[in-house]
Amino acid sequence: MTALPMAHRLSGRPQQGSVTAFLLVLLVTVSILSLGTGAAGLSPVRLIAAFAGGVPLSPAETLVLHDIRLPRLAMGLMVGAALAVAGALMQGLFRNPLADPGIVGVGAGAGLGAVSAIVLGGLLPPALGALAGAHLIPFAAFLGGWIATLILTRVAASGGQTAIATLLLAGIALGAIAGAATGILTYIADDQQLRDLTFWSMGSVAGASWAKIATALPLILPVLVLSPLLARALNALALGEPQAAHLGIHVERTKRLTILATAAAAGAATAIAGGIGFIGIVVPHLLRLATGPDHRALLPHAALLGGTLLIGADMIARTITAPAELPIGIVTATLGAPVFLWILLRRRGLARF
Amino acid sequence: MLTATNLTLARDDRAILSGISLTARPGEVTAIIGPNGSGKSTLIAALAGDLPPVTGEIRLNGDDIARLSPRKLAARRAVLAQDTQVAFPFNVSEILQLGIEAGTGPADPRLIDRLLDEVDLPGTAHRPIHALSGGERQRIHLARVLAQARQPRNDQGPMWLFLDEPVSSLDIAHQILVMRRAARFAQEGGGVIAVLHDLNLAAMAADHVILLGDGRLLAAGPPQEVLTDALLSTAYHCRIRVNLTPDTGPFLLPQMAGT
Repeated sequence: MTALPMAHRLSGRPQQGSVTAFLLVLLVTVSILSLGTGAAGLSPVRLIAAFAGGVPLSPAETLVLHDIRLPRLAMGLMVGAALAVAGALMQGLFRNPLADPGIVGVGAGAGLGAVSAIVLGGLLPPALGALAGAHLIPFAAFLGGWIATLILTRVAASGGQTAIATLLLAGIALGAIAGAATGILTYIADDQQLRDLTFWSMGSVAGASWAKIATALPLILPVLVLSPLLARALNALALGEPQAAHLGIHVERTKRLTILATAAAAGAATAIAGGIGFIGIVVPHLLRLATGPDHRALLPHAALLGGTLLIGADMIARTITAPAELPIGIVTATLGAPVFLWILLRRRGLARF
Repeated sequence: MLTATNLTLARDDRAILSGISLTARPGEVTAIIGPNGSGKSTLIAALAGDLPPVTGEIRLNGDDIARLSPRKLAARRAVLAQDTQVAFPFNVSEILQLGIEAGTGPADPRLIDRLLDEVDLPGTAHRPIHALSGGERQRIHLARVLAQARQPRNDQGPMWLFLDEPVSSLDIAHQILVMRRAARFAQEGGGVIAVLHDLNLAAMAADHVILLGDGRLLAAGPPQEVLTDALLSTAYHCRIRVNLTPDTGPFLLPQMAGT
């Protein structure tokens, strides 16, 4: 087996190590800025001074840091990383840079779950409702995304083969079904529920708490850590499924694991943060332009840049209309959609995607 | 040794070939020929392990290929598909790296450059594969296949090259270059199975020819026994005369080029 450094030296790409270092520095910088941004007067300068051994933080400042800004930062990093990695995985699986978990119905399923919880949650037995409490919506969203993925694999995988075209079409059908059900629920929702629905669908990391993070981390962390194990298989899959098999890849197993990983990461992220778009498409795309499509670098880099981008977007969401907050989904769409279009325009003519 | 016994092959529940039994030996180039739709690609796909046969058994170096893991199979055979579309903008060296990782044995740092020289595409290592022409891409994928099969023999026995119309996009000089490279691989102890469309090329390059027609194996043997007027006329449903120049107009033989 050939050592990785040789592959990188010969590839003619920027040194992946230096790109990793750059992304780490960017992540730390944006994290510090994010921790020092908010309604309470706790600036980045103040933070750095405190950490450097200057004036220690007051109890109030410590409270703001530990209970508000740190969980928000952690959740932003986690959700951003999960969305970007889920996007990169799904694009590798579908051999298409425009594929996204939203396309195969994971997002629609999660959305239906959340809307069901918002509109029908009151019908639950009071004891159960009290037990679920604030976790009802995230849990229902995750459940919806997961069920959607299960139906999807059931429909699209026959005889041990997963037909990508069927999978995409099934995703469209599932999206339509979930959309219709969501529409019916929206129709019967009352005014307060409609407000909640609108807010959830725009996405937010405003309600971050260590408890919420704890519900999603067991699903997201394994995907972030283990997804690079799929990298070589996804690289081979870029040549086509038979070609990947020729290169010694267990194609069906790769597809199953990738679907599972995507459902876990995207479902859990959507569950706790609502519908945040464009991270899953823009981040892998930018990284491919910068350092090439090799998934061994792409997947870990997507986690770093996805987290950074989301907390950056969250910072904008918090400050641009301060003291009010803009839903983060609006920020990522406003920034992400033009970038996405620009990428498309730049690529046009270069390749047939 | 590659042996197939009593194969029935089908695609989408439609029988394509039946009653196929054949043998291919390492050290030889075996050509599969036959008219359009005679099942050449279906047969090579089955032999390479892509398409499980409906009946029958395929043994590669003594083992049933249905029982070999993808990893093990990749150490015994490399496959050049008829058409390979790369989904992302990988560059040439990254494509070849996929072949290197799938194969066995050490790969020296000069391997990529050497293989690119062999397919007459020196200096393209850092070019994006999409920037190359169809014929150039076909040769890059051949280089990838050769990277995977860099050891014509390894601890799994002889290595096998499966080439499905390897020269379909190539000019005559590169057709000859590719067939010579395949012949050298066989001389070094590996086995080569190639689907060829061009009967002249098959006559020139093959040690063993398998002729398909009407869903059956019509003949198998050395080129002089298979490429006969009678057999070819039966297979292609038109009158074919071997070793005769056409009545009018110029003609070209690949044997005349590159010597």
